[in-house]
Amino acid sequence: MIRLIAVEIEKVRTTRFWIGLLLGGVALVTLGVVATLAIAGSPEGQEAGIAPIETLEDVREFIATGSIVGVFALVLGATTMTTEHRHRTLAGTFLTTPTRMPVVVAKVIGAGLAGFAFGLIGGLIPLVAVAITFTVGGDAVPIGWSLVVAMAAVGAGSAFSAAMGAAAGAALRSQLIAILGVLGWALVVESVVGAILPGAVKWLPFSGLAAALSQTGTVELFSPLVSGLLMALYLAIALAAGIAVTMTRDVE
Amino acid sequence: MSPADTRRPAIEIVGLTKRFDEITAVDALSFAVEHGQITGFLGPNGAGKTTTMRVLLGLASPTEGEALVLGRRYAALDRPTARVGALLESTGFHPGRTGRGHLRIAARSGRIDLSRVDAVLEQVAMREYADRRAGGYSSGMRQRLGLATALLGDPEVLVLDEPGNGLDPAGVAWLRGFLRAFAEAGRAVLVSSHLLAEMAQTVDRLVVISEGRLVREGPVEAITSTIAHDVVVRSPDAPRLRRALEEAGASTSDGDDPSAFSVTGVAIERVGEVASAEGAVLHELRGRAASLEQAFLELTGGEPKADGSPPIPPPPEDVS
Repeated sequence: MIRLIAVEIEKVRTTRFWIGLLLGGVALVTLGVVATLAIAGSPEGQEAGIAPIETLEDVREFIATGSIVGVFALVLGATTMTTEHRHRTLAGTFLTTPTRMPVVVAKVIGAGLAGFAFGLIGGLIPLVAVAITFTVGGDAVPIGWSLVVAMAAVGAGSAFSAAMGAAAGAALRSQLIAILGVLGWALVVESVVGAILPGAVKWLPFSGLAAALSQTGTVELFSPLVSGLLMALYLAIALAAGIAVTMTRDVE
Repeated sequence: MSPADTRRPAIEIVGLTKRFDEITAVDALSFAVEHGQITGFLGPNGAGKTTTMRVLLGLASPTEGEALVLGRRYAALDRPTARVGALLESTGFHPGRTGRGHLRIAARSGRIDLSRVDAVLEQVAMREYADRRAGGYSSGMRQRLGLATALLGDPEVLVLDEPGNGLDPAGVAWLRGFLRAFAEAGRAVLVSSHLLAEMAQTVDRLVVISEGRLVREGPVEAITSTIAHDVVVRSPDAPRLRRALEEAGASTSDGDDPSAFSVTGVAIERVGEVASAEGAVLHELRGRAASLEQAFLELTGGEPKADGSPPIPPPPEDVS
């Protein structure tokens, strides 16, 4: 399995698609970070509900800005299997590993690892930006174990997104449908459900996990552990669907 | 490479049927491919050749029957790409990945030594282009990369679907020589191709299918010899001799010039006897064996082209 995961990561690494996605994620996070820091503590910021970043707890919450890269990790995950359909490379993959289930599992784990790396990079941007801001202002940067946990949380959220994308991609043949489907669910469906039923957010795969990991907001949330277990269940269901479709479908 | 069990055929297709909804792509097909031989797999477009190969390689599931390679289902083989090399017409490459990158991935996932990557690149004369992205390859280069992938595991059996497509004449000649050497080493090849003249020069045995069913199986000569061949006649008395032959039960058709015609339906000896009885002068009397094209068209019910030429392969493209 480790060999297959390494192969799946090499497949991602040896094309340029991941670079474009990562750059897109970094650009979006940077934009959000700069905009937030520019108005944090100012009258405009207070009007927008953006408080100044002063304490360790403020920095911990600010690191969650990096979780935007999870959207790009989601797309990366959704393409791991659908790219093989699109470029007709799946036959070659199943010729080397004809028992197909390990391939799907390796793709999901490989996408999760890549997503975790995306998340760490995304979380690092607000952390570095805050450190620069504090240093320039002549203040000591607040450092604590909770920052490491926050970074890991952003990484875990991004890893979950990528893995869910990979599992969904295994169940859907079309790359376009897979990408639009997962993005539509994560960005539109969950937003609408969250707006109508705020209490249901904790049950939603993407926003529920993100909220539980950051423990921000006003609605009641699951603990990170319970939320993590719930998301693991969602991932297991998606993976089972991806495996079932992959095992029974003829390969062109 | 572990030695093959040569007591049983390298490939066994036994009562194989594959249906797609209402369409029967392969219909109770049975044949075998022996070690040490190149077996040609012939049939018109849509005859079921590629479907049979896909079932053999575990990419599609059979509706009935079984397809075995080296005595087992493909999926049951340990390190399958180290034992069976395959090139399918439909297989592609990620355009953003280099040829070498593709081979490295195939080697790592197939548990094949990475040193084989350079060896097969050298073998198919692709070393110079190995670090270019596959999206810029010509069709001939893609075909060579596909062949390199098939050869990566130094397999005992090759399953090749239209391997000559896109290759230039030098590439086709190389492929012919390579397959011959491969078979002479005791290994087995199943190869489908539309290049019938090339097939006639390359293969030892033929499996001819049409509409998913086996039409004929055997050595090339045995198959072509069963197809009615004609007699070429050239005579200054051609019109009179033609009439006499037709009265004797033969069929005739126009030849290259007014003095020549071809005769079917009677033996060459009978043509000579009729000419003698008519007192017709003969400038040429020659039996002409059926070509593989003629055999293929007759066996599969295909229509010959106007000029009788074999199908034309797509020309190789320049590197884009």
